[in-house]
Amino acid sequence: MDVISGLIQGFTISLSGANLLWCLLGVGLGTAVGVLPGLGPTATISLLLPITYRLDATSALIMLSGIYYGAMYGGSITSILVKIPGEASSIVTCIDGYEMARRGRAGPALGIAAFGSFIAGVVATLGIAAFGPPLAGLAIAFGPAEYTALVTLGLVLVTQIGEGSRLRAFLMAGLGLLASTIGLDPISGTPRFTMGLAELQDGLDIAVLAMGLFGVAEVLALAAGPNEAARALDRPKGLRALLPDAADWRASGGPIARGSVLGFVLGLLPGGGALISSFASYVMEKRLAREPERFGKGAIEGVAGPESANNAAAQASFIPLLSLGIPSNVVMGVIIGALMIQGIAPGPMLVAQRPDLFWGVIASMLVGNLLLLVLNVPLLPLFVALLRVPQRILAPMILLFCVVGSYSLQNSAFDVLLVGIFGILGWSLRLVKLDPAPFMLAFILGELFEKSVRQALLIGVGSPMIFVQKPISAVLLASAVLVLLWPLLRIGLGRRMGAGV
Amino acid sequence: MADGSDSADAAETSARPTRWEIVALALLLLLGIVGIVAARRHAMWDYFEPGPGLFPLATALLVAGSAALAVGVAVRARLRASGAADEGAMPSSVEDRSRLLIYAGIAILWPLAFEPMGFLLSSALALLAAFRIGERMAWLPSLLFAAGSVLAGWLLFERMLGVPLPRGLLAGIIS
Amino acid sequence: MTVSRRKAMIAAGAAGGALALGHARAQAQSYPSRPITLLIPFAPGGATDVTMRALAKAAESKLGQPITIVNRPAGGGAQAMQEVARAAPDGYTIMNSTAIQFAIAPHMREVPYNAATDYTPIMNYGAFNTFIAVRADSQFQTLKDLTDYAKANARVVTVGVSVIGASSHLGMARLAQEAGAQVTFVPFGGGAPAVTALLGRHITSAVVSGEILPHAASGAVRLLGTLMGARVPQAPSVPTIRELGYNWELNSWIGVAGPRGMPDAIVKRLEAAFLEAMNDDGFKRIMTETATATNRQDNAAARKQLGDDLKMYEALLRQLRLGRYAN
Repeated sequence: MDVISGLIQGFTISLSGANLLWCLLGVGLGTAVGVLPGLGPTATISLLLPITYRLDATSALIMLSGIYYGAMYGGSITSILVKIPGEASSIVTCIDGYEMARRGRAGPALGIAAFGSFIAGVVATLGIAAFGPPLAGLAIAFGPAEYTALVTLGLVLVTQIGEGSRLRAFLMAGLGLLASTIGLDPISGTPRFTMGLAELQDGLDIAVLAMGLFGVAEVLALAAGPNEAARALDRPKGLRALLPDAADWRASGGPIARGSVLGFVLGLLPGGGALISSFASYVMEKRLAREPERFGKGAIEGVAGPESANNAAAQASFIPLLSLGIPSNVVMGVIIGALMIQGIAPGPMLVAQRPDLFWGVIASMLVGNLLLLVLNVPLLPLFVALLRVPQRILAPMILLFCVVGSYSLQNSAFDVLLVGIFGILGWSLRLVKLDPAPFMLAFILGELFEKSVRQALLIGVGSPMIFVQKPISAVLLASAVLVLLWPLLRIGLGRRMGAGV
Repeated sequence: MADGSDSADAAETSARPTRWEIVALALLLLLGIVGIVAARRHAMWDYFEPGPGLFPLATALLVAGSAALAVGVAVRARLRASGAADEGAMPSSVEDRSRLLIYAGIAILWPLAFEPMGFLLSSALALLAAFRIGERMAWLPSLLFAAGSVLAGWLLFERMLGVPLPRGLLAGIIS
Repeated sequence: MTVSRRKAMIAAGAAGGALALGHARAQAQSYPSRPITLLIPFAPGGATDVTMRALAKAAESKLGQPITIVNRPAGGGAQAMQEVARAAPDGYTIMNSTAIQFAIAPHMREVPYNAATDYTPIMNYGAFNTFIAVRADSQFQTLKDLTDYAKANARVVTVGVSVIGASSHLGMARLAQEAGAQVTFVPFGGGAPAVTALLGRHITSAVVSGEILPHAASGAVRLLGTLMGARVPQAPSVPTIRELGYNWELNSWIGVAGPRGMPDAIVKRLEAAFLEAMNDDGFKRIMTETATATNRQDNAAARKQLGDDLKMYEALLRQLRLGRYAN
């Protein structure tokens, strides 16, 4: 079997002394920088990129993927401990992860995130080994019409997330869509809502929004709240309480398995697939749960599912990257740049010409996930101890990291100001019980949605029939309708079958 | 969207929406209307295809519509529960208004001073203000914490991660 | 920011530049005596960033001073453009310059700088390749097949491009207009996604840069032509647009520029260093790997290119009724 021998070759390469070291270093550095509140994988990988310039191509790519996983896990840590997501896909982790931390279960939340990610990594690697590079065909099959349908499904799922009023979630999602139209129009290049500021031409940066709406808003919430003495936050005692217990595992098994598969499939799609997988997993688990009302109040399934989906998707997104040269997100774009510096053009020839590189990276993902686990589980007590940092020190520190972190994105002070403004907005929204999560998710999807709809209409010469004529698009749109009508269907079915469903 | 949400809203907001919630929702309604007006400046449809204005108009309508609905729901819930005592001017979750204002001020002034004053100076002042005035720590620990974190931040980002942080007023002193 | 305030700021920057001029002249002899800052108006990792870094690295030894690279992609590069326009013309602040920001953007939308007067071109080192591609199993064997079909069937032929207003889009629009063909342009926000859409049969053709070359090598796509003046070493059988009967070519140049009013001695020093750096093996390798065309233009040629392009793109955009001339 070609794939098996490739994988064996890959493990030989990734387990060689030097590469193992680079992987370990990447995972360690990625976690260390990613755990700084406000610095997500994008910022982390751009900052650490120059370190890899001196390495050979395979080692550089191994180290970069290590940094990526490390930074993603670092982002999960801040999501769970201080409710500051490092990237779009960990917004969902914030919901139940932070609630778990508030109930003194930060350890199990962090633990299940690490174990779930590892298991998802194994599943994704096996998936790649079983189906191999032809998987890239799925990415190609997705054109503007198919993306429109996928994003429509994603937008429907967004309104199902979070507790609180559905109407208000809908309003916040609408606001996110409106905000996504700031900047140059994706088709004609006309400036919209830029208020004459050249800085707004590219639109709002997702990392800037996250730092403001979650990071700075959290600082303001801490500032407005009572002093430490009055702030009740249960702290676990002993290592036993730090790890997920048997009940946690029972609850998380299904979500991890489903999240891994979902993440793997959606991760193969470069445009927004990985993001959608994380909250699709959340909505799915909420729907499948016996007591859906626990979600939003510290349900471990709400951490296990999305975190697994997230990691499987990250792994899978290397397939379109390496075999087609399509970056699925900003991080992958940076990795393409690193490859070019190394003199490697990702594309259909890469797997044939550089099997060592391709399989080395695939294998080292697994090794990297294992290292992440080995490195982070012993560190759990330390991370949880971060909660013990006094609030009067923590709040100014988060502010410092948000300021410097946002500046480092584009070396622009304008971004820092936006973080401050969105921080105040984010706090005000919380005050009036408006949830920023649907806003953020709709914001990201909004851009993709408008672009794909208009591309599809251009291709279809103005006719919307293109969305139903294409099979993938029709199926996805049908599932979006199904999700939307699910509450009605369930009532109908429930009546017919008595207590069923 | 129309189904079920109404009853769910009624259940959740039985806690009686505050005056601030209604004000905020009304502001969002206003924002939606401004969005509609601004979007109409762009072409809705050109060359047989949707123009740059269509999507902003649609989303602004969505915002205005759902905000109007939310205002309605909130006002009704508030009137229904009007028997309850009226809350104060500020919501009860704000226990320390002066500290909140200090931090909000820092969140805006720090970015404004970041480039003209430079990272070191603006950050030292901002953190000093946070520790000394915001957290009411004594002068010495405030100074030590502010200086320590600025230095650590500078070493980490400028030295180790290579971010070209702005020099500002200290441009001549540090190269 | 209002227009009048923006103008005032530019004027203030110019005044500052004039004051610094005398000082700069005195410095010209010892130039460079400290590190040079080079602004790249793109995010790290793209072809422009990668090639510019390689060239700057090679030029460091010729100049005897390190070159500090700062990526400032904010505002589609407008922030970097503004910063350089306001910088002292002492040769210590220079930038990566491209036809996109210098010659096209000012006609596409209102920009906070004047590309014609605020800058001193230094030299050009490269150009983006621009290929017209179809799938290998496409019915179109030549460019003429494609334009003929588009002539007979208005708006049916879809052409994937990175963005509306990219040189690839404008070049293809000009070509289609001259051929009397009506095509539908579909922007994808980048070359790679346009290539993917082409491979997935979602569009008829794509006008893209070097990212298509691996797919041409694998036999998945056919290149019908290049909009450039010369054939490309990586694809020597692909005819140029001139060979296909059009009386123009596209030079989507990449180079180095500084603020206006730079003393000649400093410009000459930088020009010589960067031109010499183009012989560096590391730089040449990066240019090949990123499939960027080599485009060696000295100071005089770079100045002329900028002036000509500003006029050419204005005329073209007026003709196509695009950007600022849409209505």
